[in-house]
Amino acid sequence: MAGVSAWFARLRGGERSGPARHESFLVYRNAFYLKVAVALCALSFVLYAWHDPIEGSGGSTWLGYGLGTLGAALIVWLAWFGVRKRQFREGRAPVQAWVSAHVYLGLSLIVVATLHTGFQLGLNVHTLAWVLMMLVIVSGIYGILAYSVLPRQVTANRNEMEFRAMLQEIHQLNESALSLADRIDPETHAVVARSVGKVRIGGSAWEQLSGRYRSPGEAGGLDQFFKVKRTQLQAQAAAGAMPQRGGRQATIAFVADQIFAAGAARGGDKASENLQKLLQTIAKRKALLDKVNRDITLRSRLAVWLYVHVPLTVALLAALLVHIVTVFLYW
Amino acid sequence: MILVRRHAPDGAKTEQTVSGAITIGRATDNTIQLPGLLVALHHLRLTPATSLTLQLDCLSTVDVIVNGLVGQRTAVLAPGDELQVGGHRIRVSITESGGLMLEVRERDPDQAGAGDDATTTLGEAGWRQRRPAVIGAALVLLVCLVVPLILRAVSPPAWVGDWMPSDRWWTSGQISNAHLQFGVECGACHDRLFVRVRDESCLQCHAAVTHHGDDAQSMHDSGLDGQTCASCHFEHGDTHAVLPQHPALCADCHERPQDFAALRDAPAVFDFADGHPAFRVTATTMTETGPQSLRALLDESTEDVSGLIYPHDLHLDARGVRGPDGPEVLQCDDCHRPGPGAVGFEPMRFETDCQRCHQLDVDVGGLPFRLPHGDTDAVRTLLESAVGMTPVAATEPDPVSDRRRPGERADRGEPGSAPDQIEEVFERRVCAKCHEIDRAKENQFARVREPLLRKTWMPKARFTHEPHQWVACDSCHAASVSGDSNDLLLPQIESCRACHGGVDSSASIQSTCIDCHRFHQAVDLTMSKFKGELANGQTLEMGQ
Repeated sequence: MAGVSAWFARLRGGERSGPARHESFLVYRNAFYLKVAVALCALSFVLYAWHDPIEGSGGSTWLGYGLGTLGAALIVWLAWFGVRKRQFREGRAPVQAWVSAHVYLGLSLIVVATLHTGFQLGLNVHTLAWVLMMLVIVSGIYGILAYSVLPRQVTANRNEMEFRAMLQEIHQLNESALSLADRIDPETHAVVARSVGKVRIGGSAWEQLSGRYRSPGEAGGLDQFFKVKRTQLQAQAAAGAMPQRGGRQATIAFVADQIFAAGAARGGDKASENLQKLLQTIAKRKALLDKVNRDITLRSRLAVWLYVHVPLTVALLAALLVHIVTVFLYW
Repeated sequence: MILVRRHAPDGAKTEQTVSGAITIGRATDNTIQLPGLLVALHHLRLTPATSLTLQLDCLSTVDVIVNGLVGQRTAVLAPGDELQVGGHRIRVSITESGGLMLEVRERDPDQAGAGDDATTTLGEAGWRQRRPAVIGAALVLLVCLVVPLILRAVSPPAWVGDWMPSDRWWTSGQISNAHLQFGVECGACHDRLFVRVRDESCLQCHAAVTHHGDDAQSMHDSGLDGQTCASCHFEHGDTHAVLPQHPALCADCHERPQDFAALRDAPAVFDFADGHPAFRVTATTMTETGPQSLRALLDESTEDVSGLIYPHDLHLDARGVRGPDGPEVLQCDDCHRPGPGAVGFEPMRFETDCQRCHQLDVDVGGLPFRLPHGDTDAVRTLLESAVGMTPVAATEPDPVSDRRRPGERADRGEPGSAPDQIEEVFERRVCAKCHEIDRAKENQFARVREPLLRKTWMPKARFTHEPHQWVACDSCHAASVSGDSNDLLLPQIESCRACHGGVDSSASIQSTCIDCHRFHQAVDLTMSKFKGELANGQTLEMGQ
């Protein structure tokens, strides 16, 4: 590890002298680690092609032991990355260097470890370690792809809004909707309050990943309710205007009717206006909710591989230990 | 009387005692007024049902959450039940004096907001990294290492291994066919942990096998004395991997024979296609002291003296030979009958291979005799008694006597004295047709020279005819043009190379050293012999 540290110490020097700009881990320092990984794979290939052991290619030849030792060292070192990235402030090499090395050297394990096996795979603890390693690598490849595609989509979707801010806005829209509904009538308030109570942000892991969130079934009912309510309010407003045209009662009664009708009409208008605002608020909330859920989906897809990568890596370390121990148990 | 204890968000606590039905809502005329727009003006009513239960009736269509469940419109509440109304929590409990109490915990308006109960990450949805990691690693260690180790130590009944994780899972590859019968018992070979498979394990079954040679110095020089069985026999490779195929196993010594005293006279060998010397044979040569076995390079002039007179070209004439029932065309396998396993051939025997055409009939003084085969003394005794019984005049040839040979009158030769007649049978008339004869000398009668029929001329190699039986005999053996039975009708190495290549050949049959040669068996003195029944497997065999 001392050599590796010195290696990274040199890297750090190179990083500091370079221009301070964002550089993807894939092309970090002109894809230095890509070159290292390709060189490693090429060397392994050449040695494997040249090597012609009497017992056939496999882990028990000197090349097999060599590739196995190299592979095991790489696995342990790459796994150390999981610990290392939590301590990047203490380290000397930039995290980017670690990620770049992790990605490319991790991919090179496909070649190094597979050539180590000599393609002797079967139902045993040794192949278990290989399979776990391949699964870790495949999940890592997903991670590479996710990190190169999804962050842009997250940024585009958020449209310069913070996630917490979006949640806050949904809360505010809920409050406004309740407030507007309260001003219309208790029935509308009850409907909106139920709707607010049923607003679900995010969802189960499957809902997050698939992006198909279970809607509480309110949206359709809410629209239907608002349609009926609008008709009702319009009828109320119309009813308020009718006596004005057909009123032949006594003056007082007429005035009283007028006053009442006008009041009712005004009240109806006000309610209609509130209903209109309520509709807009609810629509806005729905759009924002979709955006938040989309954000949750994108972030879950960005993170899902780690729930495979990390546990499988730890299982792989255990399987690697079992592999090495059992090889020498039954030498 | 019901005690209502309110916990404000700032921690302030107020108490009031109410009686009768309790209404809860946002409006000021409620018994318990709760703030917040999520609360309906008149949300619900609690009516004492019994002394310790309350009847819940919803007054609004806004939901009330009863013990975490949404959608109940009415319910009977007992102490311990909890309601949620617009974010406020109302818990039914009992006072110290045994009366009913409602504990109202108001929602904190500052902290309340959308997303409080949201599940916005996989972590919030219950996914974990650490727990499955620990469980996975523990499972792997337990199932793949610890349990098999324990089971190995306690040696449970066999059926346990069928469903429990066992050391079988440690196998590094397929066990060869030969060892499959006990392949599930790892301990049969791996009897000690952290120790390579010892020869003792192999020799439990393979007791008959000795090493490559008996000469300790040669073994030491070649480094073979430090080798174990497993140095060359690699198990867990493939169905036949335990048989070493790689030419380097032999060539590491045999390609530089000059480095080893025991190989001083041996040629350098490293590959069948371009690193193998011309064939050498062990053949019988006639010397002054008699027949001797000699090693010689196989070429056109190499002879093997068998003591027989058998022109192959005459017998294989495409026009046929005269048989007992008329002309017939002989085939190789009319005489060379494959032996057990078709590895080689049955020994040639007069009775089965010659007699049908070559009957040993002779007449002495007009009396017909059939001579026995294979016993010179018996023939002589028979002839002597026959001649003794015959008058001298009768020794004249009888021109009308029956012929004794199918299709042709037997050659009786010239008449002569009785001893001459006997020697004539040996030297000209009968025996000498097929056998070399040691002619009569002073004080010694003529005798049939004992035939020397070899089972093999290449004792250091093994050749099996069986896989070659689809090839015509004359592809390798030029018998049809050989008029001398001393001709060694063996093919040169070029004939083999027409089909067989080196171990890396891509155009020919890939042939390894052990396809023809054996490691643990050889006939020369530097190599050990098989013990027991196999001892005669490939020994030099002379005479029949």
